[in-house]
Amino acid sequence: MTEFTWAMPVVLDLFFASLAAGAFCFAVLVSRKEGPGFSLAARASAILAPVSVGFGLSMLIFDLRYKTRFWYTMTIVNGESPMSLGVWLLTLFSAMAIFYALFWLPYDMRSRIPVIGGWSLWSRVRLRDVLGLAGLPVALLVSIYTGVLLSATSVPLWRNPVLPALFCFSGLATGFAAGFLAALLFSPGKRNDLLAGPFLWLLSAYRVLLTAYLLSAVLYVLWFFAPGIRREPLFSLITGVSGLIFWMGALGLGIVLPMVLAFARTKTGYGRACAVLAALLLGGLLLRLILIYIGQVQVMAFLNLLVYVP
Amino acid sequence: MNDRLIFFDDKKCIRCHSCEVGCQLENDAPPEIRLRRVRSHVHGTFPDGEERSISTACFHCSDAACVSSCPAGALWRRPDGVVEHRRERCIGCGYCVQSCPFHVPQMSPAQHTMRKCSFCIQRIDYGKKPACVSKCPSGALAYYAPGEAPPDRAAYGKAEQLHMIYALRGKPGEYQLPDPVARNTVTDGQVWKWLAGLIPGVAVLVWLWKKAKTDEVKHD
Repeated sequence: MTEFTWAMPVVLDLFFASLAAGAFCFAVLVSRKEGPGFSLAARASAILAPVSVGFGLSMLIFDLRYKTRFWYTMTIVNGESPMSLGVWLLTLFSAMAIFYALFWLPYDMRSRIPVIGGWSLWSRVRLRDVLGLAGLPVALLVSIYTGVLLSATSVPLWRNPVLPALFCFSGLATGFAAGFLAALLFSPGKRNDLLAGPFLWLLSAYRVLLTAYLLSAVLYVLWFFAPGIRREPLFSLITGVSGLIFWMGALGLGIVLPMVLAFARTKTGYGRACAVLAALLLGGLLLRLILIYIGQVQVMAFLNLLVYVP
Repeated sequence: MNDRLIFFDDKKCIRCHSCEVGCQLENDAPPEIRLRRVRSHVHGTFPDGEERSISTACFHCSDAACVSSCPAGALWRRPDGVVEHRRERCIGCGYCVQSCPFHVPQMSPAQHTMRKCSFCIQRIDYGKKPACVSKCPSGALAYYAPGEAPPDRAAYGKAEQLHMIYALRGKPGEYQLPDPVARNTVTDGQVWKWLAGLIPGVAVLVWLWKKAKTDEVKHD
């Protein structure tokens, strides 16, 4: 009984689902701007979103003990269950992200897709933008659902009303970073375009987004000091080895280091920008990793499952 | 009372674990999980300390967090109060394990599904007692069918209409039971949690949306 009920697949699902939501938002926002770099960033980010959510969903199915029964969740709607709501949100979001990516796919790649690849509607920019705008609230709800999913459980470390906002901002920040990194990766010749336009916009967006992210992280910690809330769960998160990962990894790499980049007055080079964005991604992953594992360890310790195997 | 009930009397328990064994055999439970657990706790201080035991299993809550949390429709509450787990519907996602305030559901790696006390519906529906009750040699566990009134004693979970209730000599906290009795963790304040994410999220997204436009005007 010392097995974790939720392990790495759930961590990856939470990370990649909210990353996809963030990448989708980045694509929609950046596509509103004019300029060669902006359309490159929007294209890479729009294509990244369905790939990322697909990987997240496959991890979610991989985590099930009865993997072939995953479709049972598609036969009911349980409005009280964040997981059931999340399944439907993810389904809707996946469909929207796939169609949105089809609009952005280069013509020669899209025309190879049978039947739907030849439709003329993919060249309609207005339709694409309407789909993008309609997808924004869905993407936002997907990133919030990952927080509500944990927040509605009985695990003391997760039972925190700030978690939805924390995961939402983390998802947006990681999605923006991943979208931009994908653009750099897949259009190597256009590096200057990307660094001149979208990167500066990304930095100005990060000034607000990362501040909100940091603020929600601080509120998450402070919540445990509210009257009537047990503080022990927090202390085992923020001290020891898990504390090192929380402070240095989730907060240091994931929030503070990118904030330094965003607020710095000097111009940032290509290599350093990539490194900082990669650090932000790692920080977002570590945040979910440490919360998922430490939360469950505390419950196991409470039930004496770690020391006493019946 | 029209609901079924199991009543546990802390005074009568002799810590023989017969209920555990009877339950495991009746319900085809693999050895790595325990559907019913006899937990012992030391009460008082030396030299007046005393070891007391309780036999815990699913509480069959009237407002059950596991039923609210299940995304596959595997859990439901029967009209007689029993929270039934249909294993043929269970996908093994583990959300009920995380959401139960009493930490009752367990994941069985061997059976690929969640397992919890079934109230022995395969027995009670044919007029028999649950296996744990029929195996209890000291009468610490007692079963009350619909229409039978349980003893008129104060018991943990009685007011909250749990269907496994405990007459305890000490405070519930001393027996690792949540005090006061936990409410439905999943639905409790869930709307506020969605809003707590939505309001700041929408605010930041609207700001970004406007930023994507005003910059454009500035460039021109």
